[in-house]
Amino acid sequence: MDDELRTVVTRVHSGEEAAFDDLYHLTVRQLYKTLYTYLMTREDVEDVVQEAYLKLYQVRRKLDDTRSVPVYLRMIAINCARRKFRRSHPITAPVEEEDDVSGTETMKGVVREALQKLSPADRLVMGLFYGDQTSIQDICRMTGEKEGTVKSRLSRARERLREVIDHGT
Amino acid sequence: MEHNDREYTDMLNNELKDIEPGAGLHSKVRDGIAANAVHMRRRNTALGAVVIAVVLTMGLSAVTPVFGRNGTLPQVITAMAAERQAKKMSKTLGTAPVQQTGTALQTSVTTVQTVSDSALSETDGVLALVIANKSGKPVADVLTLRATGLGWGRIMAQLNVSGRDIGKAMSQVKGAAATKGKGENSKPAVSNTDGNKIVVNGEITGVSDTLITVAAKTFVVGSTTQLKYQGKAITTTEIAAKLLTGKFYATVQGTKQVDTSILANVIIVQDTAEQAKQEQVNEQTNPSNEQAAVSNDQQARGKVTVVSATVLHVDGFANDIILNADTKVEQVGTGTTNIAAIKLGQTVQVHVILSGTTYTAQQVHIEDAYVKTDTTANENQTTNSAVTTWQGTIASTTPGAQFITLTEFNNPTVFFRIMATSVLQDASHKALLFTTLTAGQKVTIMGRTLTDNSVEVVKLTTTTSTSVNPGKGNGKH
Repeated sequence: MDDELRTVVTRVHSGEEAAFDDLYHLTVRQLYKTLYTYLMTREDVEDVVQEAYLKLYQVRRKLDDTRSVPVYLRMIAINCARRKFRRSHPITAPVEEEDDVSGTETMKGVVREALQKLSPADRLVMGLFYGDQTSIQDICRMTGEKEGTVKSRLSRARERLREVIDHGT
Repeated sequence: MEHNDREYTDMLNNELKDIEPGAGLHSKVRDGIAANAVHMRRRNTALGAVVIAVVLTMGLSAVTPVFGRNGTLPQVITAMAAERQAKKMSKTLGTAPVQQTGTALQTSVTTVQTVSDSALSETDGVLALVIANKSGKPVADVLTLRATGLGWGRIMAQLNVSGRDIGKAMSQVKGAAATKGKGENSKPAVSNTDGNKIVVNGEITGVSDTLITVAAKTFVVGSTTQLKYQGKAITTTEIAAKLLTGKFYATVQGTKQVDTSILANVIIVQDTAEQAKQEQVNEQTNPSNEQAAVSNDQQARGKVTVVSATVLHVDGFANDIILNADTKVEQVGTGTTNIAAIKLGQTVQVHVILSGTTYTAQQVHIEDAYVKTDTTANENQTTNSAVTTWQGTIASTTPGAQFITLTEFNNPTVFFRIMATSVLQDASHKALLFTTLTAGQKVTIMGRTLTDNSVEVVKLTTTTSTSVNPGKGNGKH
């Protein structure tokens, strides 16, 4: 995967147009899931994915560090998602309940219920750490938060998840 | 029950396993990129067009006077900088910035007076003085250019004065003002070009038919003395009458006589002390300086009262000015011309060089535009603006309408209109008021025939001689 990504990034950097499509296919799946844990609606996720890849496309000639490309992409995506979240929830971020938007798919089951009870920022850290297997340091880079803050979020998210799973509350 | 990281990972991945990007997402991403590329291309094209337009405009404006009379872009920028400096200098100097600038630049009183008499603002006056000083040209040249509507930048370019020159001159003025302490109390411009000239500004404390005392300095009022108030002639009697109503001030330019008395050449009466300078001057900082020549250059401006191939006399300048082969003559409308172009009644600016007791004209600038005389016109009805001379006897005066008629030109009647700019004087060049003109007086009139066949009087001189040439029915050019 890493070798493949490195090759693709090199091709993108050299200006090969088709290489960007390959880069998309290599990275979009994981990005989509991460964004979903944060935004929790497909419509919003798709908007953010489009915006993030457009921004990546605009700087494609400057991409030269293959290791940083996924991190960089998620950083862009997280910033886009945050902006979108602020626009659609200008006063307070919904923590307890998500509007049931028609035409969108929501997670089902206990884990979904537990995630919905978390704050969006906690959900994002949870998704990055457990879903993406991203290191604490990279999460700090992506979110701009301090290591202690990220760890607190993880701890809070775990506790919440445990309560819901073990006790159903 | 405790869970480890692996379990959380599995739980999350299990929950998100069905969350996959739709098949159409890639197309959307691609469409977005394509739309953005088009948008960027259009934006870059528009931006490029704007940049090219700006560059072309800048380039064009740098070599072509696209700003009309303000000149090219660099000239406009230079003008703005110069005007800003002049404005700042005017503020720094406080009162009478033109006079103070004249003092700092050692400009003659006549030059300063010329600028003061012009319609320029204080700031523009300062700039005009500085440009004239740096270009070495008579200030009248600068004023003439300005009067034609040229911007300062273009004037500077024509006279080869750079923005740096202006800056240096301003520094000089600022330095001079600083040494005199704030500028407000500095002495006004003083011309001491031949060591005998004195200028005094201050309150009029006494006046008689033959003497006037200003700022404790007494001047003789002679037959050649010009007295002015608000641009018009005034008599000593009228000044005395004004003094009864309150304080009045004056600027007096005089010349020391052999008997140590001071003959007033010009007396300008003013309403306020602001207009006049506060202190007696021309003793300057050194009382013995009256004999010290600062410069041999002088400027004289006024109407031509006498002109021949070798001598010129200008209203307001006490001395005869010698014309010679080296005298350059310029006229508005023609450029360089010759001495023959100088006519009676014309307003001229003369750059005079004093050598010993002789004033020699270096340059004469005729401010009246050249008008080609229509030689085919009816001799009795000159229909152009050339100055014509009439001689005759006053038949009537009409004070309300400010015109007179002459007995010699009563059939058909020619109305001689006295304008605000008309010079009225007696045989000894002493200024007269319109009200003093009476029927029966012999007069010589120089004027321009207007389209309604009336005559705009440039100069009217009462004569005592009866041996006039009673209107040959035509003007003498």
